[in-house]
Amino acid sequence: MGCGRVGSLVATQLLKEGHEVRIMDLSPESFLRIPPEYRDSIAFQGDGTVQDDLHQAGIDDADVFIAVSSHDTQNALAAQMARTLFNVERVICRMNDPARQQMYESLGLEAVSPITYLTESILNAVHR
Amino acid sequence: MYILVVGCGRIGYHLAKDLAAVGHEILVIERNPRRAALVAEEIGSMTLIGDGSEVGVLREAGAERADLMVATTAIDADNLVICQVAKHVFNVQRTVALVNNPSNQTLFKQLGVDVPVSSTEIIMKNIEEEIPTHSLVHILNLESSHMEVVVIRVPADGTVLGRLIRDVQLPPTSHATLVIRHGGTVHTPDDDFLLEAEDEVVCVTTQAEEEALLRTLTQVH
Repeated sequence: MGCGRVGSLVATQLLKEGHEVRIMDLSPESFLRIPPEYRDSIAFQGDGTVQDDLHQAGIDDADVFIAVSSHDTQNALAAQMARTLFNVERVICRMNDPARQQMYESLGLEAVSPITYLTESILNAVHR
Repeated sequence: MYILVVGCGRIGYHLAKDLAAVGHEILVIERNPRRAALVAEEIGSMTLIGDGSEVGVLREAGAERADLMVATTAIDADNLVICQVAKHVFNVQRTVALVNNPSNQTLFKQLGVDVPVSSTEIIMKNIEEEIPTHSLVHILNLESSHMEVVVIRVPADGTVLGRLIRDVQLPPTSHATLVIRHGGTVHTPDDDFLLEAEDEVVCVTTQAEEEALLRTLTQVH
């Protein structure tokens, strides 16, 4: 869910590794980030925080659900829907805010904060 | 009580106003500075400009001493996260969330929102009760068991009329528990009970079986 810079790269990479991938986003322009040879087969226009759209995107058969839109709250809702309503085995979600990332980790979601990584690499660069 | 209201749209605004009027201490958290200024001026309550789903903003708002969190934004994802942060980071005892998409109501409850409020559901309930032609009325949702209590009115030319209730094939987990007859007499239907036209049948059922149950009891010749 979320075909921004992160989502499009993750999806393309997983596809290259041989996985079956579907990527959803509300904006059709976002799919331009996917290389044209893959675009049609994996793009699904829909809202990842709406149960019906998730269902239509094929979430019932998914082994992994990844929520990487730029909005923390949308990711949190989508990820918890995937886990609670569709029983997806692995759910990974992006949380920009490190405080919320910690909270969702403690609630059992795999939450990843890009801000934490970015801060670390900047500090590393400064100290080098 | 100390009550945090996040979102100052139509619902948040009037809630904050009414709660302040009955003497509660209210803090309104609103992202839009213009709207926040309007509330401050009209209600005289405290406002904080910021994103109420952020841990830092809620800390600033004194969330750890709040008795109640009310999330009233137009975005369900925001309302969910606001309530979850209030509950899990600040230990707020009661959380209330506006549910804009009614299909999220049960999920919000499962995810720890104490009171998910769907305005669509409330209005729908009123319509069902007000319009007598509607043959199914929801009375109660039993969240823990996913069962619900509904009342179904038997139509005048229904196919169930004149048949013993044991011969009527209800869906497997649905039960007809009470029958209220025209004039107000109440019956607990045993196997030999005969339904009459305009009977109101109180049933325990599930959301999944509700439609089949309605069809069975209201099918006409």
